Formats: sequence, structure tokens, C-alpha cells
Amino acid sequence: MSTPTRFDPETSAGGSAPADVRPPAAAVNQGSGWPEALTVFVAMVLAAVALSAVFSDFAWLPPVLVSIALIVIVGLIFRSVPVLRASGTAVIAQCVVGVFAVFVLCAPDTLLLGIIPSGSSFTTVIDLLSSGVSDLYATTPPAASTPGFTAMLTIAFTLITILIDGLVSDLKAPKVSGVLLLVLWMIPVFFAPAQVRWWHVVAILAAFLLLMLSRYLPSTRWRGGLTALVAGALAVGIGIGIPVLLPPVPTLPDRAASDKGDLTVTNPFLDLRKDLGDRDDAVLFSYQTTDPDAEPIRLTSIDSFDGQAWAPSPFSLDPFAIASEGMPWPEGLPRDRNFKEETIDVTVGDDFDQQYLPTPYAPQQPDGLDRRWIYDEKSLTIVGNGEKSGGQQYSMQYLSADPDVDDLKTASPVSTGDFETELEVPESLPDTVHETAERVTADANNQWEAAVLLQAYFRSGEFEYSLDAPEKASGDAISDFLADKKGYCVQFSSAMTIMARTMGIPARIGVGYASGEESDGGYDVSMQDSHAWPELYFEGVGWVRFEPTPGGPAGDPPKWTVASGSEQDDSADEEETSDPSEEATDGAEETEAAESEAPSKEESTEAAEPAGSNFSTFAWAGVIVLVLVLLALVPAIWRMILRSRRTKDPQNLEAVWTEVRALATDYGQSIDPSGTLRYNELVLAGVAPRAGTEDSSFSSPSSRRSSGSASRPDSGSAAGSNSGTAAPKSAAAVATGAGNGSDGGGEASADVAGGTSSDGTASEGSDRERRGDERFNALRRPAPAGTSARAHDDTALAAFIAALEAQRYGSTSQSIDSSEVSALVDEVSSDLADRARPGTKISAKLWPASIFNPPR
Amino acid sequence: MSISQEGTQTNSAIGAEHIEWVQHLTSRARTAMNAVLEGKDEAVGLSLIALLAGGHVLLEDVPGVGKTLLARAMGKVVDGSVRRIQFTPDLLPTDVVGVNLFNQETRHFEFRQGPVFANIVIADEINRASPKTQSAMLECMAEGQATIDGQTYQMPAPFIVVATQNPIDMEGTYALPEAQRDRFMTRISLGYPNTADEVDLLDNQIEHDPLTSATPVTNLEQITQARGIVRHVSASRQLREYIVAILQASRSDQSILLGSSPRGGVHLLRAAKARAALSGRTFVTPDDVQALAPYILAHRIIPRDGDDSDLAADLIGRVISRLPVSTNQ
Repeated sequence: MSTPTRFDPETSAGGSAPADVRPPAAAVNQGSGWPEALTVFVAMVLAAVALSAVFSDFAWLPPVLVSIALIVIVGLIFRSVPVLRASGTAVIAQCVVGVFAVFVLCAPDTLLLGIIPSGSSFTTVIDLLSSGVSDLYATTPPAASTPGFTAMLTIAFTLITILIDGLVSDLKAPKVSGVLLLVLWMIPVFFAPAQVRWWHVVAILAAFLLLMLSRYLPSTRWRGGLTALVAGALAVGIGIGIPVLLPPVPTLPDRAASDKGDLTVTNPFLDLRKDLGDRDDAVLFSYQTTDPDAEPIRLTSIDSFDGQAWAPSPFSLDPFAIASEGMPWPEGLPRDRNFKEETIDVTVGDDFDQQYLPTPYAPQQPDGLDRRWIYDEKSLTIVGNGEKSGGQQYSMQYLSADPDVDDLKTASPVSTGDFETELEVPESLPDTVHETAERVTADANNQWEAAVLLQAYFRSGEFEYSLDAPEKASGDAISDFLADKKGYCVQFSSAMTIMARTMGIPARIGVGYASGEESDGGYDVSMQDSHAWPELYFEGVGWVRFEPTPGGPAGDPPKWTVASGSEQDDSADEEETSDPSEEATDGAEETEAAESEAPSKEESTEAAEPAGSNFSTFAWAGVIVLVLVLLALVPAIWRMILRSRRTKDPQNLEAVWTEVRALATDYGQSIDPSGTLRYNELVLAGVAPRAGTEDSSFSSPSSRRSSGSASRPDSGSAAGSNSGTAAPKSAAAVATGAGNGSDGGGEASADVAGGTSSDGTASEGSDRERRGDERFNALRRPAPAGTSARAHDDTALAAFIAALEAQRYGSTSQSIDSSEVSALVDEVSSDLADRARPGTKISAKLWPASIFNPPR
Repeated sequence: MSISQEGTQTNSAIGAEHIEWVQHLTSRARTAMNAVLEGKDEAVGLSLIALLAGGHVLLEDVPGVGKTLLARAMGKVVDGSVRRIQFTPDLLPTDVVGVNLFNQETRHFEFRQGPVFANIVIADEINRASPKTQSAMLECMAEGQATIDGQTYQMPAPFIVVATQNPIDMEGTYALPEAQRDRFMTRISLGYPNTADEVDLLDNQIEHDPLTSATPVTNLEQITQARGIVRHVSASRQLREYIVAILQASRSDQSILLGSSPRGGVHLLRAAKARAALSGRTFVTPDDVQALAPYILAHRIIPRDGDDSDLAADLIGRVISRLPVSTNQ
């Protein structure tokens, strides 16, 4: 017969709840760690696999994996070693380790003694990040894993692993962490939708599912470390192995993945005629140069002649040939002579908006350019990858050709194999052109003299500069030009280029602007200065400019192109001394410029470092730390404001009660909305069976009742024998005066003890606990036994609850004074803090949960 | 008996001293009854609550655990008349309420009261009687009066029926239908005593009749007064809303086939008032409601998974645990 439990369902819980509920809760806390950490690690590895869609190689993966593993291991250590767990500093430790990991992985060279980050470590990492952002613009997926990308991903994965680990292991909120995974998944979805294969989707889904299911993992089985290791290794193996082992799936050719140079570069040569005839003398750009002899400003050079039209030879634009990182040494130029090192400052007008960057030949180190300006290695043309020249302002170190005539004279003919394009002569070219060239250069002893003679031929007066010449530049046109002897720079330059080629001299056409009009110590260049000129290659000298055009914007021919002009400047030795210092300042300026324009995605504080500031990195780090500390204090401060707002009016008992409930929320003690005031008083005092330890979904009254019903089936037959065996113990319980409820038998009245099953707890439980249980039973008994049940603790909480109860239900306005309110708050918070774990104590102060989940 | 709607207004009518008097009265009665029934404090308390709240008690238990003893003890301590009706299948309504007999001497019909006219009526094994007799009995319970041949006879006050029902012996019985169970304020199970109590019980009952140890500690007039005081214990609107919320939740719960009737709410509030008085309060709190609801409402609902009293109490507890105690809006 079920009478005891049915009749008095509450009493069974009074005895059993303290004994049953608390130990499992403690066990769960101690044993946790392994499954969550492993789950997080595997999920992050799977996320990394999913992210591999964006990249063409796996060089970025090792640093990412190392940092994930480090974070997870640190988290595991700090959450499982009792001393460390008590400190509650797992996340802080993870952050510190994460910062070090990022430095070690991304900027190992800058670390002092291999481990201590220096100021330059910050700079390097920030630099890497900004280069990563630029790479982002410059890349079409699948991308090569540049250092910039690797740094970005390492930082992103470090951060997100810390967050997810905290969410899963500390807050037990894996659903929120799923959102963070989504952030990672956005990267391939947005940047490389065409590269995403089904296994990437499977990987991210598996990571997602794993996090979702982490709460339901059979944690007891996972506790065996070996099992966990094997399972984890298996999961990692599958995660990494499947993409490798799977056959490649052909994709629709919706995107030409290999076509890197998606740029449409215009052919400036074709516009020359129009530009020259332009009446508009508005300044396109102006410049100042350290070179006393102003040279033409080049846009590009054109070397491909198909017999009909000149065009830039199609060069593959490499997005990582970033001009601001320094340009290659000009082709064929010796390192020690035949050049002058000069600097130019260019200011481009807003209207001059096109893809080529006007530079003198040969540009070396631009300064003030976005990283999206890229160069062609061969022609040293600088082209904007999505950037236009309008409004640009930059300075540039360049090498001005200053060839030694002796070198030119002794230059040996080039091997034709190296200059196929530059030596190519269209088959349709009439023989007269070659014959003319042979005739003109008959006296030449070497190639240089031949070139000089060719130029002299065009400038001899036989030729007339005229814009009326036919615009076409076909092979026939060259012979026509040689016959008509009338034309402008297009005809002159193409004729000389082709003729030089017929004699085995590699030649191309430089397109750009003549040096322009002098003004204010600089030069202004307008559309009418549009110009083209031949550039010839001599072994041991490199590309050298000639000037066959006798009129128009073209100036005097360069001195080395005139047979007599063989005097020589020996300025070639100066640059050795100035070189290193210049490079150093260059580097610094460049990084700072890059910082200012490339805000990194997740490290907004780092990106906030303004460029060119005089603060040292450490000062900035200090400021950042200060800001972070202040930010971290915001919740605590806000919590204090809320508290004073709620407790400032002692008459408003409901507001004070809200504050008490908020305190409970802060300490992770849930206040059951279905509980009454008295019940919650006992919960706050720590004596009621605590909801939220094991099954927080069900409030305590129901769980107690269901425990009563669970014991129902056997109670009918077992009640008698149960009582029989428990008889002596029951007597003992009576002797100690323990009024605990029983689940074995009897009515569990307060005055007749029926604590057959509570003998253990009754003896070992503290006096306070026993009193709490008594009071709890009294609360739940249908017919309380008179005044004995009214014995309350003499606490501020009890007084407050009595007042609040009377106000709520007794319709009598009660009030307490403010000292009682502060005593109440102190008492409740110290009570809660006594029972809370150390980590919870810290988070209750610094990160009060009630701010985010305020009591209604 | 109807509930006082103006509980808050009549708040000033009763004070702490009234409540204290009721508490004192009850605790004396309780002590006296506990002397008769060993280890049945909970049942004693509940039946006293029913007495103070003016409700009837349904004792549902196996034979021989002291159902009748409880009723008799109650009658003894309140110094009221106790009648016992043993219900059998052939019991007629007139056997319960009484009959008009022709008096040869006066040449008039005279009403001869049935056993129901007493302060405390023990309706033993009420489920053995025919439905016709049951309904006659239940009319008396609901109306507090009996009508025979057009003549209405008032029941003495206080009037409380303690019906017993044997849940085991189901053959040849007519289990009380839902509508009739609803008229009882509470259903109590006594249960077996625990070992120590049972050993004492063997000693005591063999030596002497336990009822002799019970002495009247109060009288009917005091009980009526106490009832008046309990009726004026205040229940705020918020609390009444909470009770209604419980009732409605019991009606909409998936695992409950039939929820509680409005009368369940009336009875719950009346019992809660009695409990508040017993606790020394002049107002009802949700604690009273929560503690009593399983005892007041369980026999009024029909669980979907079979009519089981334990299950019903569980379901009521679950309903309460899902329902927020109303806060100050």
C-alpha cells in the first residue's frame, strides 16, 4: 500500500534530497573537462577542414592546428586540475597562451630569446594582418596561403577556440558556440562559394552537430582517457583524411580559377593620337624629382607587334607582386654602375584616373601606395588591381639610366632566345624597312652605334613632325612612314623599334608622357605631353631610352644616344652608403601606412593604432590594456548601478526582492518562479533542495513528487518490511530529534520522527541543514503543527520575506529601513558566496549573469 | 456555504488575537486526537482543516487503519454528536435521512430523523451503497439540509461527513462518480502506521478503548466561531488569481483527462484559509495553496493514464511546479 508516499509526498524529499542531489553534482564538476575539450578540439579541426575550401594548399593549417590544440589543452588543464579550477582563470590563461601562440607561430623571428614578444612582434603581426587584408582583395580563390592569411586565420581560430571552449566547457551553452562556427563558415561561403565541396559542408555540419550534441555525450563512458584519445584521433583522422582521399569532383567551369589576372588593362598606345591632339592643357599630374635632367614619365612599355597594332604583351598580373614591397632590379642593369639613384614625388590629379601608375623608369621603391598596386616584373609597369591613379600621391625611389658609353659600345648581341617578343618582326614587314636600316647603319661598328645612327637618321631633318600622319601603325605603315617622312611619336618610335629589331637589338616602346612643363621647381604634365619612345636593350646596360622624334613634346635626345656625348658621370658609387638607411626608413613608413589603411577584422583594438604616431608600441599596448580593463569592468559597474537603483527605496519591497533574485542569478542559484517566497527564502539560505543542480528543468516540488511516485509501486508491499528493518534507526532518529521526512514509512510528522532513511544525513548533516529541512517540511505540510512551524531564523532575509509576504498577500503596507536592506543584501550575497564555487564568485563580481538575464 | 468575496474588506474584522485563539483551539483538539490515533498527525491536521473550513472528508484506505477511529475521535473532542452509517447495497435513502411515520396516538405523521442528523456523520464504505442512496447522502452534504415529503429539515451545525471508501474491495461496489467525489473537500489516506507506532498501538488498544483517552477539549459553539474567523482570513486578488491559474492549468494539461471544477477552487481557498489560520496568519499565501492543492484537487481530476490517486497528486504537483507564483504586477 502506498499510503506514506502518496499521502505525504514532500516528506520523502526532505530526507533524501540533500543526500542524493549534492554528491552527483560535485562528481560532475570534478569529472568534466575531457569530453568538452575533445569536442571543442575536434569541432575546430573540422571547421578548419571546412575552411580549406578557400585555399589551394595546406601551409596555413599547421599553425592553426597548433594554436587550437594549445588553447584546448590549456583550457583542459585549467579546468581539471583542482587548484587551477578553483582559480577560475581558464579563459584568462587561454588568452595569454593564445597571444603567445600567435606570436610564436606568426612572428617567430621577432621574439626575444624565442619566447618574449618585443615591440616589433606587435608590429610584425599587425603588418601581417594588414597584408592579409590586402591579400584578401587581391586574391581569387583558391588562394595560396600567404603569411598574411595564415596570421589572420591563426588569430581568428585562436579567438574562436577560446570563445567556443568557454561556452561549451564553462557555460555549457554549445548552441551559442554554433553561431561562432557559422562565422568561420561564412569565410568560404562568401569568398569561395565555387570551391566549396560537399565534404566541406559535411565537415562544418559535423562540427556543428558535435557541439550541439556535446551536452548529451555519455560523459561517463568518455571519462576513460584512452577511449577519448582513440575516439578523438579517429575523428581527426576522418576529418582530415576524407578530403584527401576523396576523388576530386569536377566542377562547372563557372569561374576561371586559374585566370589570376582578371584585369582589363587598356592599351595606352592607341589613345596617343587623340591625346596629343587634345587642346586641353589641364595638368594631369605634377612631380618633383631629384634628377636634374627630367626624363619622360612612363605608364608602361609595349613590346608586342603583330604587324597591325602594338599592344602590351599579355602579362600575368600577380596580385602578390605588391609594388610597395619593393620592385625587382631592372632587367639587365648591372648592380654597380650605369644608373643614378633618384627620388620622385608625384601628385596625380583626380581627373587622371586610369590603371597605370605614372613612374619614371625604373621604379624601385614606391612609398604611399596601397598594396593593391602591383607590378609586372619584366616591364616594371605598376598597375592598380582595382585601384585607379586618380588622386594618388606618392614618392618613389627609382633608378635613372645613366649608361656608360663604353659599356654600350662593348655590349654584345643578346641571345635571341631571351627576347623573343622584343625581337619579333612581323612577317608582313616589307623588306624596304630592313634595307633602310642596313643602309643607315652601315657605318656602325657595334649595336650601340647602329642605334645612335638610327636615331640620328630620324632626327636628321629629313623627317617632319606632324600630327597629320596616318594613325595606323601596320607594317606597311612603317614603310610608308619611311617614304613619306612625316609623322609623330607613334610613327617614329615604332619605326625605330622595328628597325632596331631587324638588326637584332631587342626593342620596345615606352608609352607615357614627356617630362612636361617646369613650374615651381617641379614639373606639370598635361595631356599634350603624351609621348612614346623606343627603348632598346643592351647587354650589360639594360633598357635604354632613345628619342627619335624630332618635335612635339619630345625633348632633346638623351646624351648617351648622341655619338659625341660620351662624357661620363661617375655617380655610381654614392648609393652604397645611403642605401641601408633609406631602406630602413622605408620599411617603417611602409608598415605604418599599411596599418592605417588595413583594419583587421577581429583585432579592432590593434588596428586602432594610428599610423605615424610617436607612441611606442608598449605605450599603445598599455592604453589598450587599460581600455580592455575598463571595458571588462563595465558589467560590474552597471550591476552596481542597478543594485543601488533597486535598493535606494526601502519602501519598495518588490524592487529589493528583485535585487535579491538578481544576486541569486549572479551566483548561478536559480530562483524557481513556481516557488513561493518562503520556499525561495530557504533556497537562498541554502537549505531547500536546490533546483538547478541536476535537473533544473523541473522545479523541486514536482521532482519531489515524482520521486514519491517512483517509490510508489513497491511501497505497498515493502512498506512494512522497510519499516521493520529500519526500526532501530528510527528510534535513533527520534533520539536526535531529527524531524526529517521519511520515504519508508509513517506520516513523518514533526513531533514523531519517521526518518528511517535519513539516519545518515541526519547525523552528519550540519545543524543548520537539519533545521532547514525541518522548516522545509513544515512549509510543505498540508497542516502545519501550530506555532512550531513558525520558528524562523533570526535573519535579515527571514524578516524581509515576512514583510514582503505580508505586503503582497496581507494587503498591509510594510516597510523596512535602509540599514535592513543593506544587511539583507550583504547577508544574501555572503550566503550565496559561501556556497558558490570560486569561479562563480569571480564571475558573479565581474560578469554578473543578472545583467544579461535580469529577473523579471 | 459560500465563500466570502470581501475578504480584504473584512480584514479588520479579525485580528491576530482571533487567529491565535483559533490556533490554540486547533492545537488542543489536535493533541487530543493524536492521543487517540498514534502517528496520524497529518491526517488529523487535514481533517481539522476540513472541520474549520466546513468541508467533508473522504477517507480512502484499506480496512482497519483507523478511519472510523479518526471520525469518532473528532466527534469526541469537539463534543458533538457522532453517527455512523454502514453503507450496504440494500440500504435505502430513508435509512439515511429518516422517514415520516404515522403516529397512532396523535394521528399525525411524525418525522423520524435518520442517522444523518448529527454533527459528525461517518459514512462507512460509502461505495457499497446503491447510487440512489449515495445521492441522498450527497444531497445532505451539499445542501446542509434534507427534504422529506416537502418538509425541509436543517442539519445541525457544524455538520461534517467523514466518508470512507475501500479502494481494494471493488466487487459489488459503486465507486463514487466524479461528480460526487467533487463534493468532498479533501481525500485522505491514512496509511499503515510505522513500526514503532504499530507496536504501541497493539499495547494500547488491547488494554483499553483508545477513545476513552479522548476528552472534549472544545465545544460546538467554539467550532462554529472558529469557522467564522477562518472564513474571514483574507485572500488577496493576486492569490485568488493564482488559484484560478492552477485550476485552468489542470484543465489544459495534456496528461489530465478532466481538470478540476470551480468548486475545487472554492474548496482549495477555504482550506487554504484554514491552513493560514493554523499557521498564525491573517492572510493566505501561495504556500498554503501549494501545500494543500494535492490534497484538495487530486480526487477531482481524472488522469489520462488511469484513475490513480497517487498519479493524480503527482499531476497536480507538476501543474504547480510549472506555474509561476504570480508576482506583484
